[in-house]
Amino acid sequence: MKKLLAIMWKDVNVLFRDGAAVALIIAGPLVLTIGLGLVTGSFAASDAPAISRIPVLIVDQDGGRFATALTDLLTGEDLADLLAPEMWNDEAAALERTRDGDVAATVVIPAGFSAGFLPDMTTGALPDPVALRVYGDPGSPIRAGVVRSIAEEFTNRAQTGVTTVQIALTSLATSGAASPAELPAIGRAMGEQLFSGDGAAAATGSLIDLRVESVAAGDDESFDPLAYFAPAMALLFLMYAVTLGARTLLSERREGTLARMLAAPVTNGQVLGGKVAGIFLGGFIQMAVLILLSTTLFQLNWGNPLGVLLVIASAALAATGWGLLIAAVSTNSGQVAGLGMALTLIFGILGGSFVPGMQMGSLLERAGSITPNKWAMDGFMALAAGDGLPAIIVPVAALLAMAAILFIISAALFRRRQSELLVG
Amino acid sequence: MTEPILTAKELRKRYGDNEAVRGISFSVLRGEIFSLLGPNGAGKTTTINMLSCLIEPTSGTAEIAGHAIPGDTLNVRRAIGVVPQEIALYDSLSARQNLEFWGRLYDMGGKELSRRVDEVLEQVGLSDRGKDKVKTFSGGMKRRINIAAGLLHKPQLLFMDEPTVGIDPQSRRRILDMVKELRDQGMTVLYTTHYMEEAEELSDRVGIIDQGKLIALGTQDELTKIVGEQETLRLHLNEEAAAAVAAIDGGAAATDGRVNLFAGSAGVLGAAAVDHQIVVSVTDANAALAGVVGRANTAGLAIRSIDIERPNLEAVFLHLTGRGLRD
Repeated sequence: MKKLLAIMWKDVNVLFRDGAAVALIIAGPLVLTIGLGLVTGSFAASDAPAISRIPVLIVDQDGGRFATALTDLLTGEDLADLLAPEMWNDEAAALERTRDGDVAATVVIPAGFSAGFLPDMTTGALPDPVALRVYGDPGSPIRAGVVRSIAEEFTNRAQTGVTTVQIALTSLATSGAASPAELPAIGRAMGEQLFSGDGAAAATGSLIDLRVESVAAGDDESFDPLAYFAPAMALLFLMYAVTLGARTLLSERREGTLARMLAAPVTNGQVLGGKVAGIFLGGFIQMAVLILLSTTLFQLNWGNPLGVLLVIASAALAATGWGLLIAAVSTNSGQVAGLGMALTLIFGILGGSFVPGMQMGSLLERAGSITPNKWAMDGFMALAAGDGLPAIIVPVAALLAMAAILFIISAALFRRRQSELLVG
Repeated sequence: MTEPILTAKELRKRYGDNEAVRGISFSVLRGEIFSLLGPNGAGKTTTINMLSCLIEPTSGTAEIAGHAIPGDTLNVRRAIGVVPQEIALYDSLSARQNLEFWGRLYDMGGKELSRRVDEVLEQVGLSDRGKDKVKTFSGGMKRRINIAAGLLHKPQLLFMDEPTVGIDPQSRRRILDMVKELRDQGMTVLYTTHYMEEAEELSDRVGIIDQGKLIALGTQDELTKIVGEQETLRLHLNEEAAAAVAAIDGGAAATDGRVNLFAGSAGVLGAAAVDHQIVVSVTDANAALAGVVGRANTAGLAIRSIDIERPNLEAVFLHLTGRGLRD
């Protein structure tokens, strides 16, 4: 075991002493994350056609005045280019469609939502707020974020208006300018004026509890495009990092260091095990460093730390499996580099690293399932949305299964080529 | 120095239709420097690879320090040290980090490893460069670290596979002196080379290998007796000898290095083109000199200088194979 670990640490040491490689696998993803984040941020803030006709389901369980106002807003002409809303009665079915990625988000207006804005006529106190629920498709975080922003804007205006009316009525009552009997009518009139105008007023704090949740349910969380691109780019370059590691399996043969290792009292298994462990650890460290840096630089919340570690480890294992397979079918390190780069890009596209929320055909979408990128992104997005460990069971299991299958295939291929690979 | 530490019996290695090593048998005695001398492609490295347990012999056996090949792989590897022909080091690591890594593969660690690293760095004259990355080293310095890595665990038998290839004369001198020091300290060395001068300077015994076969074996005196009193005329040319001779000698030299230009000249036994030289084997150098120079001049060969050499290993090789050592 000591010799296996010695080989592993040596490989990690060699990888992270290569300035060019470190710049590529650490700085590269960070720069791309910033770039794509900025570009996507611009898209989200403009009328760019890239984000338009966002499919959204509205489930109105309230039917009250505020619920109607929100529904009118979402289905109105003003937002017709941006949203493609559909009224829906069955919340469970709506969530199912969101989970399947058929729509970007579902807005659920719960019963009691409107009543939560109306103060008690005798005491003037507001009842407990009723949460407006926005469920987003983890695969379309930006478009779900747009829907969330609209809902948030509505509730902010509503709460501002209610507060304004409350203050005005209190002033009228305490100054004697209006009798208590007149106050309800004045309040209704003010409310109609406020909600028929632009309603612009300073926010005074949250009276309405707005929750943005993934379809897997979870805690309060808001979406930041960088939160998507940071893991997406890290995963893209993870594939590249493991390719660099896999190249050493063949370059060490060319440079004679592999033969020298095997001339020492070590077994073939220790050498190959050490190399594989080195590739894995290199990928793991790269991902961990990127996550730490992006947390610091972009103020990102990745979610449950243990879950994040599990996703990193399983993604690094699956990527290592792909790296080994590439090395097993290549005859020289140049071939590994070429195949690795091709696979990095293909996996990036299929796994959604470049175009978040892209509406790919079902065939391409299914093809994405062979990539570590897709499953790891599912895991990261669920965690970032506040979901707990149960939400990452499927992605982690898929990544581990992928790693196991690739390791078995690679081992069989290496065994067939053992003598050629070890001493040329 | 009579007990063999290595005994090889009828070692063969076949790659498809190509038999790289064709039944080699020899012994290396404890405390000696034994050289395998032969041109490139003669089978030296394949022999070393079989004895290092890197490749399994197609047939034949060997025994190193009492451990069998094939069979007792790990114990054989513990007993030997290997200095490969390539500079098998990690450029981005320092000399010390490289040595520590290789030491760990030999079950070394802690203070013992640190002390041995200091010792071998001292031994190869690079104590002050231990912290420097190997990529900053000259070719000769890299060669010395390459050797140091093979010495860390104090092997009973050290394999050195062409350790001076591609380095400057000063570094070569240093390495040859180091090999002799190792022998003086009691280490046994199996040294492969295609440089006759190195084999002559270093070796207690020499095995001459060509086309996968051991064609002669013994001390230098024993080997030179094979050619009797033959002497060598070494004609230094300004151009590549094989090409020059091919132009005037019917192209024969271009295929196997043999030179027919001097055939029939008084006292000439054979000739071969080697690099920028023509090596002419003669019975009496003084008597043959005029005839050889005359033929060369007539043929238009531009001779820069001529050396007259007493019987040596190259003459032995030429005598046994008809070709020069560096063909």
